[in-house]
Amino acid sequence: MKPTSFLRQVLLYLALFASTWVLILPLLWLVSTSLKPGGTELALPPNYFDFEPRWENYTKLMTGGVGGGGLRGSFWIFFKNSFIITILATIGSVLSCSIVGFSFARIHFPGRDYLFTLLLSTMMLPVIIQIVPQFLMYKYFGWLETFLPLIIPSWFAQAQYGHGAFYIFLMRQFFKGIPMEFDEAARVDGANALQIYWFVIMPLATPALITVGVFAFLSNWSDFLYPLIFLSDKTMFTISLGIRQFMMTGGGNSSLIYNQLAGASVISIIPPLVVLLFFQRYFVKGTTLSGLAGR
Amino acid sequence: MRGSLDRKRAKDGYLLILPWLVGFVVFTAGPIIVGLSLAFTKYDILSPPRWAGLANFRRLVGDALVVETIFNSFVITVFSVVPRLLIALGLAILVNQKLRFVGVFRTIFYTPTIVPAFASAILWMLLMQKDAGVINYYFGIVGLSKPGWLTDPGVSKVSMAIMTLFYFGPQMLIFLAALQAVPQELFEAATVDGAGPIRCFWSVTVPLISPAIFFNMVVLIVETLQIFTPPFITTQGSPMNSTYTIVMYIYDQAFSNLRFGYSAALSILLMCLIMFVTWLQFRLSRWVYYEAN
Repeated sequence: MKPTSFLRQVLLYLALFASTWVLILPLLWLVSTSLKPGGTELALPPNYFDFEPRWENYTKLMTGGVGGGGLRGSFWIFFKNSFIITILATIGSVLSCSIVGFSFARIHFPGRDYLFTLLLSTMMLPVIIQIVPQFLMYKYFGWLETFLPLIIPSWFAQAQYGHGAFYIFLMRQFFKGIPMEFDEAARVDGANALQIYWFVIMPLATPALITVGVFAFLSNWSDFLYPLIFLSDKTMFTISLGIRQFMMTGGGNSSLIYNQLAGASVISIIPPLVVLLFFQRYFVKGTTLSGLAGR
Repeated sequence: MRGSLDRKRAKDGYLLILPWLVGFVVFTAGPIIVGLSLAFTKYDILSPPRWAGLANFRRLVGDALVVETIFNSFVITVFSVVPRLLIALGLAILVNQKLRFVGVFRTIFYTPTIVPAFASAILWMLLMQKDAGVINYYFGIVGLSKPGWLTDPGVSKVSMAIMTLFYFGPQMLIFLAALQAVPQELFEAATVDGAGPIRCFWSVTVPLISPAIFFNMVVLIVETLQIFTPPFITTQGSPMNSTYTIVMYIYDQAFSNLRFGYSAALSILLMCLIMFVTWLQFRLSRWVYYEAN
């Protein structure tokens, strides 16, 4: 390829910066709105930076309630709930999907390919056709009003939105790339399948494990539909339901406080943003791993 | 000897997929079978389900809201998927250039995708206010008329699609991987034959990345046909049901009206529609170029 000319470079950088501006501007507006003094949030022309930032908006948000029941410090509770659910579901997905992916990638057993096709086809199922009967089932189990419906399926490789199948697929693709000699050598030394999985293959699979962990974290943290259906007690709410509650009740105030609503949204973005910045290269890795691009 | 070893390994194989198999039966297949059978009953949770035969399906045929909500979901999907594919491909081409710091831009471009859907819905709801919204303020400045983004049934579907436009991250990365797999020699050969950059793009790049285009299209369509969160948070289906989507309708039938049987029948209809649309795309996929190997 011929070296990029100077003019071409300038144009490309212009395009890159213009796209960045368009994509990031709404988020900057959100952050700026969350710091504005009350009553001026929606004033026009939009004022992005020319004001004294009111950090106390965040203190008020975190210590205040969401209305309808006088639950104090509720956003701390929502944040904590989301965290507990997200962490436990993510660990479950990583463990269960890696063990299943290991079996599909490295052990021959009759019917394996049929089962794998079945697994992949579950990705195409509409969510709503599963979630309504699941609600009835969890009601029967007595799981509603606990975090179990949002955590336990992940431990059985059934993460929400059919993502469990996607994670198994990612793990399998990665495991297929590790030479079979490792397993053979371990077998000669008397290791069983579970030992090979845990002591031989897992230590080699860190990139794939992190990739699945990152995807699972983001998807659980951002989820709205599943918590909406399975949780109704306010003390159990995740951050998504908490923000919706705040929006509907105005936080117990006479009118909706826009800076706090924006602040709550900003807070909900911070954990995924941290994950993105720390693990950015695994996003690209995950996509390449899925091997979907070329074939 | 050999046979018993094979059997032992097969046993291990089944044992290790057991978590998925149990989960599949309990959390996926079981609920779907229950759902399929509920469609033939009348069930309101309070009393046990009663057999209703095909009543739910007969009702479905005469229900104008079914047609309307499916239509809404399809329109939003078209307005969402086409531009999203173009944005994803355009930005993938940009971040595929040999430039310094291009990796930083890859991360920046992925950022909107990690914003939770409910947070972005709230953001757009504020930006799209008719009179107090920032978007219409700028529309006014450049002399355009100010649409009621969330209040005018003529544009509200487009607004829902706009809320999804920033979710192109995975598609962008899939395109990027596909672009990087295109052999450079082909461009050189085409250039020698006198092809310009545009001709190169259409005759070399597009055919070679067409499997990625197809994959992204199928996935995005399945996903967007099930759109729920943006309209649920911003408009609740208003104005005049113009943003009332099929998944919202199914949700309401179950959880607001306690018509679990009817909601199950609607779910089956949606599943069939999604399967049909996907099948159709595969039937019409002659344009996708697969390398023979």
